[in-house]
Amino acid sequence: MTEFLQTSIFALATAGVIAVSAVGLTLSYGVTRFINFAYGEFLTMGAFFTLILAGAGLPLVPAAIVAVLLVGLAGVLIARIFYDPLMSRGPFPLLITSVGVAFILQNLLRMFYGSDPKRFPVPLMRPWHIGNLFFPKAQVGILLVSLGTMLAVHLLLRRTMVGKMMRAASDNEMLARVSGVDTRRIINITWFISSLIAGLGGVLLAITQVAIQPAMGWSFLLVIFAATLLGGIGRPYGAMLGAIIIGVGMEFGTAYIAANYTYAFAFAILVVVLLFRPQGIMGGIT
Amino acid sequence: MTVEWIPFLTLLGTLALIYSLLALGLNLHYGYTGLLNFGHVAFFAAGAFASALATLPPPGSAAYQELGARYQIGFGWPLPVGMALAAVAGGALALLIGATSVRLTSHYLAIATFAMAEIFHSFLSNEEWLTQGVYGISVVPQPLKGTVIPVSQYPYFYLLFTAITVFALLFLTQRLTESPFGRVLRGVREDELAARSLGKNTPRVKLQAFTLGGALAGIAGSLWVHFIGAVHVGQFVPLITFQVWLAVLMGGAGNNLGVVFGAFILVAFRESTRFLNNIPLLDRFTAANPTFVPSLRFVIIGLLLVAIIRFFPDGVLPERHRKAIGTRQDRRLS
Amino acid sequence: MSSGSFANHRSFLKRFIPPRLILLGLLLLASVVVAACTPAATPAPATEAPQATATSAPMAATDLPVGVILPFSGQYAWVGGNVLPVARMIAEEVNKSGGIGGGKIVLVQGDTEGVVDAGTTAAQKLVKVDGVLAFLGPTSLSFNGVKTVVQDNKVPMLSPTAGTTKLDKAGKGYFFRTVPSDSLGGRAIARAITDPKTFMGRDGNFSSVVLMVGQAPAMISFKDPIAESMTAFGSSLAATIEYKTEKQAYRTEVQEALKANPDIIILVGTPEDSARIMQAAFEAGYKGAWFVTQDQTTDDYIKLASPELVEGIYGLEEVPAAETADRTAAFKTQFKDFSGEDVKIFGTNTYDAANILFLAMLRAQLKDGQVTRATIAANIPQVANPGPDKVEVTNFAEGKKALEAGKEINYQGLVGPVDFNEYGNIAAPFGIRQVKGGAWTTAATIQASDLQ
Repeated sequence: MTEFLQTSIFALATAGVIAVSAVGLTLSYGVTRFINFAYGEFLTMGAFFTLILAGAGLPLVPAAIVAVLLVGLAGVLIARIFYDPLMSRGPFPLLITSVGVAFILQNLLRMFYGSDPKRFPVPLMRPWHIGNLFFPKAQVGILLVSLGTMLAVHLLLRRTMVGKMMRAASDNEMLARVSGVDTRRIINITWFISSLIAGLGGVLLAITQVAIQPAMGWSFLLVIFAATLLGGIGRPYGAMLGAIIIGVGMEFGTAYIAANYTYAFAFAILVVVLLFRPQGIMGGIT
Repeated sequence: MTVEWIPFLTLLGTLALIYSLLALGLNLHYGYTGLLNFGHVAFFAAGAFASALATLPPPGSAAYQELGARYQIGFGWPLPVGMALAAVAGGALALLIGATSVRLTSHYLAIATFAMAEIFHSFLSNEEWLTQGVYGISVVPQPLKGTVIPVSQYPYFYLLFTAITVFALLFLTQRLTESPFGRVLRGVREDELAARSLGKNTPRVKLQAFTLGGALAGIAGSLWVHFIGAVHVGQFVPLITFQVWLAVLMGGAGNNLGVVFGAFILVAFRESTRFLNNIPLLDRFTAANPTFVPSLRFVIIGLLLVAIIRFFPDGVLPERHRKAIGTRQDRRLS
Repeated sequence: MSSGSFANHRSFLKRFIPPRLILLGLLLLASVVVAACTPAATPAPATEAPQATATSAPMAATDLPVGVILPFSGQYAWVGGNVLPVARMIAEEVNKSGGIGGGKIVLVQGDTEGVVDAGTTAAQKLVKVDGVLAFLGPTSLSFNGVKTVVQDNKVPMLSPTAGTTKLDKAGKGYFFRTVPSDSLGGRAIARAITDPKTFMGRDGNFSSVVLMVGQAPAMISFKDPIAESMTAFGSSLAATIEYKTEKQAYRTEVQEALKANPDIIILVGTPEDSARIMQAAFEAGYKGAWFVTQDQTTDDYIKLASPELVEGIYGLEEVPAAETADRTAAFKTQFKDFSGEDVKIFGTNTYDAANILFLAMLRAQLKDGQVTRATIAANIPQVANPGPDKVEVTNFAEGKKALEAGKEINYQGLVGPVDFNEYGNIAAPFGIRQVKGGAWTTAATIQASDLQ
């Protein structure tokens, strides 16, 4: 029983990191309608910008905030350079372009920053104990930040004008445009928010990983994809649900079936769900 | 010693032919049928392992003792059997993956195939009894080497063998795609609903195309494994899938000859960037940071991918325009 | 929208030349330009002539190209990044002292990308186009693709990085390495753990030993040697956990390992995965000991994992530290002056590999009159192995002096005496190290004879 509960705690912490990242991906899909293979690189950027700023003397939290904002801006810039010119050509050219962008970003980082693993500057902390269970402080922090992010995304989509316009553009871009929504501006804002969330996901991932290297985001990408599609692509609440299922699948699979198949469990869940619900649990937008 | 361009080009030619075969397979999936397959490397791997295990000397045999190997499965069958089994393995895996996912729509299919390739990679890494896991098998037979064909001549022999195999398969693929079956494939690609309303069993047709493409990739795996003389799961990473995509897109999706050509451009480009260090200014960067120029190679490959999609969406040899398919503009890249 | 302007741009070009021809033209142009930068070859009459041509720098007829075949891109790019600067430092030293018979050593980079077939093409390019006389490298993974090239072309290979057991008996005459086989490393770890009083400086035996090993070629090759040697020394592993490398966290894997109540965990992994695993174990309240392999027994690892976390852990190093401490310190200072960086993983192995290779080239020049692949291969054991009346040397300058004075030499390296057996393996004594006060200290030395 202790093991079961302890594994559940680990699963939730894993789900937290995945959820933040998946929500960002799904938001951008809602408006831009393609799967961004360069998304993992935004996570990597979030982590490395934080590391660089922290190295320059900023304390960790301000460094992370500045880094995350920078990733948001970088996202808009990259979208304008690489994706905007192709927006009218349908999803496939964009998808392949994003693979190219992923190569470019990841290897630029290696060119200028080397590829040895670096320590992410989080101090070593004793966990909290409750009964036989323990709660690593950093993981509790990650869980709180991800819950906060979910709440913020919820409020943004439901309570703000920008969010309403994003939802409108996501449901029917044509209709949104004739109703006076400046879709061009909404696309920029969406890129900013989506990349910013990715950057935040990267910081959380870096805290989990302790030691980081330039392929970190790319290696994590498939897990994010799995969560996003599982929930139904373009559905923020679906992405959160998908993240929990994937996190639970990975950690429980590791604990109870076989440690070396950990990622395979996550993907197997995805494939099985798609067999029965080809558009994901919440029914993805197309 | 002199620069021996010919042996080096022979090697690259062989590799390009093997990638051509991978590209032909993907072209059946994407170019003709419109299926977004992002897990192509899995079929390549299945073929490579099938062919390696079929041809390795059986454990316990004299040849096995001599190699000092430690793998557990080997049948000692001749190469043609290995190649046939590679085709079967690639095709069977494609059938299995296809059966679960060809009905998915584009993005879901792309990610599902990507995920299945990862599951398969996990399987290959973990089932050591079968594959030796990440340890790999480095004693895969290279038939006739050192016995009938002298070691120094072997690369030329293998190039010829690969060329004959690949061109034979190119011919067969071309026959297939120009047949009524090929027309159905393009019909599915252009408008699945219309194809279905004409009475075509589209899921079945898609599955057939998926299986055939997988079998071609499986044969490519067989050619590859006896070419290198080793098999290792570390080879079968998603990067390979993306390179094959690049070959298909550069060459011209929907044109068999085009994608073969695309594979040659891919290998020429990939290997010529190895010479970047020879550019006088760049070698200074290497002195400061040894990974600078090698990483630059991949930045350039990324830029190439982006530029091709943006400026040359039809590739070098675009699909020929067919009047019978209706007047709609090609829906894929324009 | 900006897409409009691009569309115009396209149709403008299209009017004159079909775009596909532009694409083809650009690609061919790029390939040709790059390849053309390779200086034209000077035809040499015999293929085994000492003159080698076609290397990166503008060259003289007597340049001696050596291929550095390692991953320089991708996940393992750091390996190449660690090795090349050390090799370059020694090569410059050799060249400044007059080179080999007037010829300069030119290092040519060959990127294996951490993928098998790229390893093959990189090796073929080095052999056929650059005409390298020897390889420094490869790694355990790339060895799968490089092995055939070495065998078919009889290029001597001296690897500072490949511990894989695949190289234990790969072949005679051309395969050498300055890193001990993982089969020996695994045996040394098992030896120490089964006799902690002698080799780890602690009382009482370990009752439950758990092995955690990452799924990558360089690590998995430790798995069988450790398990088999534990049995051979009269003990056994309580559990073995194989884990997927590059995962975001290893909390559940650690939980699995702790089920066996280990009092010591043997951890074979990349530095980054090891840091994650030790962090997870710390959080789970693990109080037992750790034993890590050479990849983590470095100063970098202490920084990466944080000193607090690694305090007290044991590590394996192929250094009889007491004997070579001064020389290793001198090397570190020299390297810092040369590159401005600290010596990283494989630094000392590379120092030995490069020195031995260049001394072998020098002896080939002096004794055989020509530096070819065959003479280099034959001279590698000549300069590294002991023998009657041999002078012990510890770097190129000393070796050069002795060789030119007509003496025979036995190179003594930073990783040990580096004496090659018939398969090119070294039987290094191992140092058992322990982190104390945030720095590695020596706990004991395991002699080759202790491993019988």
